[in-house]
Amino acid sequence: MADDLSILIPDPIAAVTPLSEEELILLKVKLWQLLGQMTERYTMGDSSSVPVETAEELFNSVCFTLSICLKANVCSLNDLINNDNLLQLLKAGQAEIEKKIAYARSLLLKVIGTSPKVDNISYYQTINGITAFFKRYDYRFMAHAIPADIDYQLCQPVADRFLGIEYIIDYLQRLLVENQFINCFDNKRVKLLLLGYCPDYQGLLINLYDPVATNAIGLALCGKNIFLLDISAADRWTIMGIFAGLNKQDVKIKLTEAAQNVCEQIGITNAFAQSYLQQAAIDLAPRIMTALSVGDLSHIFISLPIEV
Amino acid sequence: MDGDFALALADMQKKQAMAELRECNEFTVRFGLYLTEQQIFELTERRFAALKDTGRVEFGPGILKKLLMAFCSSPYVTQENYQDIILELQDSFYYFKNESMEQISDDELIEFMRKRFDGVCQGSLEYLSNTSLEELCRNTRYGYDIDETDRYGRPF
Repeated sequence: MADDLSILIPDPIAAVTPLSEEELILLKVKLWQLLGQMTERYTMGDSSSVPVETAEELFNSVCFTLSICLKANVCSLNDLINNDNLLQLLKAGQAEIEKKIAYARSLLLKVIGTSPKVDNISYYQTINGITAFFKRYDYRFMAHAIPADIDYQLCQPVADRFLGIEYIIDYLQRLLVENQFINCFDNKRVKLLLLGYCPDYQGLLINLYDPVATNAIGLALCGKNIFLLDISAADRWTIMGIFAGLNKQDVKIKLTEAAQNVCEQIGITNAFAQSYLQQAAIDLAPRIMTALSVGDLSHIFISLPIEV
Repeated sequence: MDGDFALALADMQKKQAMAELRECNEFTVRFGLYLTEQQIFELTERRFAALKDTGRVEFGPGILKKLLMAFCSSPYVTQENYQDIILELQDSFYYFKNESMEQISDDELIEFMRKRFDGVCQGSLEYLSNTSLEELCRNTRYGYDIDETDRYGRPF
């Protein structure tokens, strides 16, 4: 348990500032002592021993909190090794986490304010789940945990390396980007598109951003009005013609250019939002290559079911 | 090197635990109970084995001192069975900490063990483990009260 310091020192940091064996051992001894102090606080002095699983969770929480310190430049790796009182650094890390919690709350309000006016059970249950997270999150003892029911699938999921409040912040940032993109289009057309994408879009675990972004990119490829969100059979033939004979790399380049075009048309200037759409475009490439081989793009670029 | 680190840490904890048990002798000797160096060593070794068997981690000196101080005045503990009883109590303690799902504190559990050991168990560790402690942990898990009386309604 005390051997795994990957939460405290992830690979990028370890690569830049590798520790010697002696420094690693010294750090582990200090972390073990800190773990003992945290365990005593956790049990309020009632138990001298805890299950291994509990100790592991407390250890991961300590490492996560100290890693927040490192990332915020409140302390350096050398400070961790040389400082006799890691408890002070832990408290500094907890103060940083408190700031992140406040930021996450403000992000959640923005997400709620920009929620697409589309009924989707998993979306709203996830918003409720994240709201409940702030009541359940115990940043003193389980800072790395994510006590939230998050069912709504993002177009670009949060990376596995994120834990605790960092996961929630990253998730909300991505969700905000998706919401702001969807809100650029007429709500009626978005609902029709979703109906064409998945008849039970209200009840199933689908991502609302993906079909909207895909059709916008498809229309940009055809040189048509992206705000219509409707791709006809003729448009699909046009897109097939554009991609015909191209290898996967060239398909990705075309898709990236189309995504940039969409960003310009909508007026997306935020770098994260731009890269989010570009990545969504690039992720279409394998599906497009497969669809091209069978000559059918209808499951990727959707036609609206009713003429608007 | 990581294995050496764990061993060095365990070694440090063992020395600390053994020193504490030696200090306990000064108190328990008035009850005619005394642990030899070999017995202290065996008790300490058994502590780590018991922790490992029950999947628990302990920081600090451990529970042995509290057990010794709680049971040294028991009429059922003699110099002949002193080490064996403490070994058995230690194993039971860690096992039933798990069974109680951490809902009973160390002091509460030891107090209960001592009370029952001297009372209804009449010095039987088997009765203590298989009946009294099982009942305590089951009732704790389900939220029931513990029956502190015998069949005639008299308290233990």
